[in-house]
Amino acid sequence: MLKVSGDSMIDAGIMPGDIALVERGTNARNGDIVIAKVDEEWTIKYFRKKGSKVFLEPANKKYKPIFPEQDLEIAAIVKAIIRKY
Amino acid sequence: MQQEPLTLFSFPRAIIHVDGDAFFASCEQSRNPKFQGKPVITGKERGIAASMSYEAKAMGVKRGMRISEIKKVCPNCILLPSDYETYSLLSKRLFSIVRRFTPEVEEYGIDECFADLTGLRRPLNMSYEKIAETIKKTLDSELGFTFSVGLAPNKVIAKIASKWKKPSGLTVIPGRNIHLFLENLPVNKVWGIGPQTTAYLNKLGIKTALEFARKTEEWVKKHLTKPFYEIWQELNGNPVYKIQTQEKNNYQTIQKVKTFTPPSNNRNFVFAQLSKNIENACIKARRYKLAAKSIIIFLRTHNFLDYGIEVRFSDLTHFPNEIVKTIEPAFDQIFNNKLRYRSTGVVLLKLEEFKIEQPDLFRNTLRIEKMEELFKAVDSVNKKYGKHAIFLGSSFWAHKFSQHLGERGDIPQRKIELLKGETARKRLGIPRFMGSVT
Repeated sequence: MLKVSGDSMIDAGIMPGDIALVERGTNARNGDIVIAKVDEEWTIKYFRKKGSKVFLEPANKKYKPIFPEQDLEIAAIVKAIIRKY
Repeated sequence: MQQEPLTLFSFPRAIIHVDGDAFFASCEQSRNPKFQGKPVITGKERGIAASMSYEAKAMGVKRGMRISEIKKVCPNCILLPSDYETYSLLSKRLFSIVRRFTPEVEEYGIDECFADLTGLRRPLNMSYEKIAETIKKTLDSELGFTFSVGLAPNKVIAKIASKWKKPSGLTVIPGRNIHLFLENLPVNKVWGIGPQTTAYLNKLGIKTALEFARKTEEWVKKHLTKPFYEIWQELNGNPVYKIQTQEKNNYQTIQKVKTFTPPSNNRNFVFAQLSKNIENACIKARRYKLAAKSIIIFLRTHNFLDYGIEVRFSDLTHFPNEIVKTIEPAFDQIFNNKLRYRSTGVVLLKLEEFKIEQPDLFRNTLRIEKMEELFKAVDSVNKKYGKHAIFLGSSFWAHKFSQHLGERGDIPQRKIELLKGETARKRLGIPRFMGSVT
């Protein structure tokens, strides 16, 4: 479980302040929303696979996709989003 | 003789021992990417290292080291207050993952367990080695940090196996290879052989575990007591110790000790600390339907001198208000306002099952029944609103301030960053990733 603080997935309906329920230990498939480790921070993005290339795609036009230079560490896959009012 | 196997059976039983690598520190690293690959130490609130990541171990930090020493050997380390809530959540997950493979699991500690895999080769369609490997892989990936696993014919050897290669080891010791692992193992490294027995065995000319295992049955029976005869049996590959799958529901004693900073010579404050410990001990006693016949209270000064006293009760009890009243004179006997105290503790002794008995001349059964009802209500309120939502007036000064003032008073991150609807006392029972998620 984690709390989202950024707006990079706003077009996927994930807002800052939302709680994401995630599952560890499963392999990510193309199109999954994942939690990955980038520059010592967690980040929430779409996991994309094109051929042998993998990258992270945000759901907000303000941000660019992230192409990992080394190994991409996927910590977990997002299973649900909770928003409390 | 040295080359001869101790037994020819590989796996008369197949027992694994699973052990978390630097469990508390790993829990912290797995949920916060900032801590990964760095020396992380937990136990800040106690002022000593409770658990160190392998990076910190490499710098020379040892368990129990004081903060001042830690800062000398490892100035760039990350010191964290313990977050037992999260550790126990992950501990539960560890056990439930192992239970997916076998129902026979013994929860031996917060970060370790034994499990019996005997007879599972066919239903799981895997060799014992493969099952152990699969369990390890599942744990590593689902919990986000590594475990060391040992597979052997019994618990003593399995424990040796899991320690053999750490971190992230998988060591298999079939019966016919036991002697290879015992050959250079000092006898004190065997589970259950303490410093006293080691000294005794050394006098008898035994230095390694193999030398001990090679002794004859008559010799062992003549020189040692039954527990060590059993260890000897296990070293020879015979399974003696059973996997205890039942949860522990019986205690001989219940102990609660708590340190506070800064040290204090204020009588009411120190007494309140003691009173809070009594409440905590009673909560545990009531949970297991136990009651005590006697109690030890003790105070520890800032320079680690202990003052203690035992107080007997006229009747079995697990009500803190009764106990606090009974021990107050004893407390004043050992308390000295010229000394500064750093911790207080209580040990409930002579625990017996608590039951309300037939009314008799001396026991005030009606009163006890009323008290039982009262504390049932207290326990249910505390269950709903968090521990110590209702507490005794005598504990007031211990609740007024946080347990540790100053740097050691840091609170785990999880308790600071609350989600909507969470309170300081009640949080969702799900482990949380920390740091900001963008």
